[in-house]
Amino acid sequence: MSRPAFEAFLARLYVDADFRAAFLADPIGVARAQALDETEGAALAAIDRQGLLLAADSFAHKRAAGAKRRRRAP
Amino acid sequence: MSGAEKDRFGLGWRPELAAGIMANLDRIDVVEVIAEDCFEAPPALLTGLRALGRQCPIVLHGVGLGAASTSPIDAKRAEAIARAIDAVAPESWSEHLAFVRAGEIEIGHLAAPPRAPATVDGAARNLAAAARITGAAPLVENVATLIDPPGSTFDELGWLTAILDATPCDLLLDLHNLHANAINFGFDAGAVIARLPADRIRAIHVAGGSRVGGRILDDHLHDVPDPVFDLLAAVAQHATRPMTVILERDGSYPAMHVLLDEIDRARAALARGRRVRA
Amino acid sequence: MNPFDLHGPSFLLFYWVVVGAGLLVLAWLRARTDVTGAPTRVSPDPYLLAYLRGGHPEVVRVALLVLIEDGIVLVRGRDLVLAPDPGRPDRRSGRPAIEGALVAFLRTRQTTLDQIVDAGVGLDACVAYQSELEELGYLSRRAQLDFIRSIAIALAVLFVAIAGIKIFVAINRGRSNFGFLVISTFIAFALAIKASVPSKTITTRGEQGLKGTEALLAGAKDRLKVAGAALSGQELAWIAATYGFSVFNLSSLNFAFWPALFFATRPNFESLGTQGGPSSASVFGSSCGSSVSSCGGGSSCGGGCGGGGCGGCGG
Repeated sequence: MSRPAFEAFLARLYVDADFRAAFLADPIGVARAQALDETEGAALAAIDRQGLLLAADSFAHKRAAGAKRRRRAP
Repeated sequence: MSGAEKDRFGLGWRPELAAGIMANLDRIDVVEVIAEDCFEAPPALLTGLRALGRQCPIVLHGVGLGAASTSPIDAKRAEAIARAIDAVAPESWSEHLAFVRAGEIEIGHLAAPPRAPATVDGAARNLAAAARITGAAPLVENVATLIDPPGSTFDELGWLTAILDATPCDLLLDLHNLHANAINFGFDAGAVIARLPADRIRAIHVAGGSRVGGRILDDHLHDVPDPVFDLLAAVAQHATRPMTVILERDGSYPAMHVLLDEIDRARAALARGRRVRA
Repeated sequence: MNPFDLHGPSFLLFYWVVVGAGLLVLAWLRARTDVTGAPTRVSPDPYLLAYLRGGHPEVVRVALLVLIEDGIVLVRGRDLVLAPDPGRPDRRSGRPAIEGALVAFLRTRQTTLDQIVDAGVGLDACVAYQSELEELGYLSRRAQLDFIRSIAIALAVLFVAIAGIKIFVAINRGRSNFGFLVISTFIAFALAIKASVPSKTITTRGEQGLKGTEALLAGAKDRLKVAGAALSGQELAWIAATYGFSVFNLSSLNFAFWPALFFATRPNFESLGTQGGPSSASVFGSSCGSSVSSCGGGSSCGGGCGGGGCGGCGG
């Protein structure tokens, strides 16, 4: 399944450390609070946790590298 | 825009590699330029790239459109790609089957979307819009992922095939991405290649990565590993149309001859595969 | 009406109308030697670029850099000497003519950069570069410039002749008020002679081509600062050909060619209009300051410039 709200939830998981921590503590609750439905909540509850942490870290590095490049460019 | 009439081998244009590329144009058939590098590039750089394109064909590679999403693409980004195409006159352009932003959030890199019918439909709509705005349909590239995308109902092969069925876009098959995902999530990359629609594979990326947390990260900072060359030979056995093979290296640059040797290895792998098929 | 019958200010006015018309014709002819429009292609040959920037001396310098970095030529202080045959590394076949000329010259002597350039080593090779650059429209055609020079010299003579005739007529008529005419003649002559020597031979298209290559190689130039960048002789040649040798000041690396490839007795200017190189003056280095960034902006998505590339296709 996917829809804009689900993708926005994923994006937030990838970039927001506090949100990610809250989600990992209570995936169904956080999903419900973001108005995702039960099927989406269940899919998120079964998320690849190790992958999520690795991906989030990788994305953070990429964002930092991108910001550094933009600061260097005139 | 045109495609290859014979197998061609090249690498990604990176400013740090520019002198090496210029010094070795006799060993490089094609150069891949990142589209976003052209967006705010000074006119002199665009002039230089366009002139380079007369010497060595250029293909343009986008990294920020986020086409594989249920949300529509930002038309302004597609228009920027169109302007880059006008400025640099590439043979073709490509983008990733990824999402890079959602809501107001920029992920900062290419994220694998849920492999689901909704993202197939979204990708089809977005790629059609991009083709309309730019004047040409892009090649679409599979991405690597460290996370098994939640909400997925397709496997990688099924999702890629569904997108190819739903769009006129051909495939830029990134073999390191496929290799990384196969290792990370336990499937046979060779089997995927054998079942991809052979006539839709137009271009190949090869690259290297590293291990992080027990998984392979496609970082483009390392040499191309042997299994990727084996996969390239497998593609050559499976697909008969001419291929454009691009080596991607984004940092930790070795001496230029190392990169040229990797290109030559790719040449040999493709030839090996073609011979087996023959 | 005989213009030599005009008096004082009237004749001066006539004289300056003639001079002005002549200078306008020269300016028009000079403008026709320019070539505009986008650069047609990037040359695969760094020596072509070196010639465009600095003529024969710069081609010699870049070729010597390649030979030194490849171990064919050794540096002894400021002297250059061919490496001994048995130990000399294999060289790629099809060596460019300029390199071959230098190797041949160094077979029989140990010498310096200044002496090599003064001896005209490699001038024959540079004839080909001149032709190619004229064909590309990057340099004004020498034949056209020679024609303009002839016209300018003829006009200079004409200006003096007209004034001379008037002065002769004036003297014969007992007049001596030709001071302003004399001054005007000197000025007109100087202007015509100045117009006979082009201030630059690189065309608008050539300047754009040079700027384009500078922009393409900006990142490569930055790599000089990185220790262990492991740049080959050919890569260094491209950087030197594009930016000039002052670019190596940016690097703390110890280049083997360093002491030998700067002129001792001639200015290290690349502006040599008489040799076909551009006269956009520069000291040691490129004709452009090269503040051009390799790119700007870039995506928020791991791509962007400064070598980020794709950044890897997925996290």
